Amino acid sequence: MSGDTLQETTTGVTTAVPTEAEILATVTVMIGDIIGEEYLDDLDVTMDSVITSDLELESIEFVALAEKLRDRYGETVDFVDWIAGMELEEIIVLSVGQVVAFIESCLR
Amino acid sequence: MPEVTVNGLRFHTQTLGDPSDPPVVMIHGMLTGNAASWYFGLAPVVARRHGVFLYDQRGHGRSQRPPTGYTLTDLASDLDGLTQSLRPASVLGHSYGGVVALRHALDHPDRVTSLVLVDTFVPGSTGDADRQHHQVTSAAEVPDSSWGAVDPDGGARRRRPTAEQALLASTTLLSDLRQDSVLDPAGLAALQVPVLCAVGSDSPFRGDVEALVDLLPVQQRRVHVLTGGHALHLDAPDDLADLVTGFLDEVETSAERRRVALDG
Repeated sequence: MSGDTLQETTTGVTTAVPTEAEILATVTVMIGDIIGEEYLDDLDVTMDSVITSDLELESIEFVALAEKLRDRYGETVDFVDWIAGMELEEIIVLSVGQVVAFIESCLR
Repeated sequence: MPEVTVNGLRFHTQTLGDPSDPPVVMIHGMLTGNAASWYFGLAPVVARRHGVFLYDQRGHGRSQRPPTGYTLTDLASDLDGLTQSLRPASVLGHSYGGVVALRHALDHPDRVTSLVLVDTFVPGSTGDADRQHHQVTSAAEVPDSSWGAVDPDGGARRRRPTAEQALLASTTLLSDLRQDSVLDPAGLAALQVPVLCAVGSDSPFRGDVEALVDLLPVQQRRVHVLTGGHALHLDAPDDLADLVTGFLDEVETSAERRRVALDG
């Protein structure tokens, strides 16, 4: 819907703001890279998937996800700061959809 | 991902903050700990005024997992190798990470400016071998690497083994730690740097933590009990951050005063 909106990323490259579906696809690929494609094949990554329990990401893999998001979207998407502001109880139930919505809100 | 090779092993490292600020090294606890223990919590707070260096200890997180070689000597040697390029640093450790920090301070007193021990105790320092084994394995109940997403069936439902399951199943970590977890009491009593000890009010290891505190020189140690269990970085993150940043400020201010006095 906002595919034609242009914005400047920290790398200076002008790109269109991705749609929710595009962000979900990007995050799904990142999670596959982190946990291994062989495990991803058994999983259906949806907006409702809980990252710690459904996708079995461990805390150190959140660090890997933070790096991938920074590499992809630049400093605009400060995933570390966002996670650091959460209680453990919130992190445990964090869904892919919440991450996608966070990314979208940073890029908008 | 940032990697450094030390002692023939690949280590995952992270740096936060301005490297020209006073350096702080943070070491996670064994089995359930990893660099994420600090990365989303204490590290960014401390990094506002310090250059923070984090790493996954061998076998943990995204560092290489050798089948053997988990003695205190090995772990302290990793810390030594990984911090070669840093100026003398404050070294902070949770649980057994604090034992590694203490061993480093004893081996290289010129490289350490202060120590922070978060619910640190020496496993097996009190009691018998069974109790010692229990202490090391029960540390694995700290919900650190899994962030508390503990399954009622003990993780059997998981497709992938957790980090601690892999460590317990495929390495000599437990037996290595049992063999070599010794700190020289005379060396501890002669430590020349300030040591902050954060003790969990409800820590199952509280008696053992306080036994280690008693071995530290009275004029150097500062002991604070925070409300929480063994994993104070998870149970009391804000209180721990306030305590640690206040301590680092105090240590750096007094070091600066000494420098000025010497120069003047």
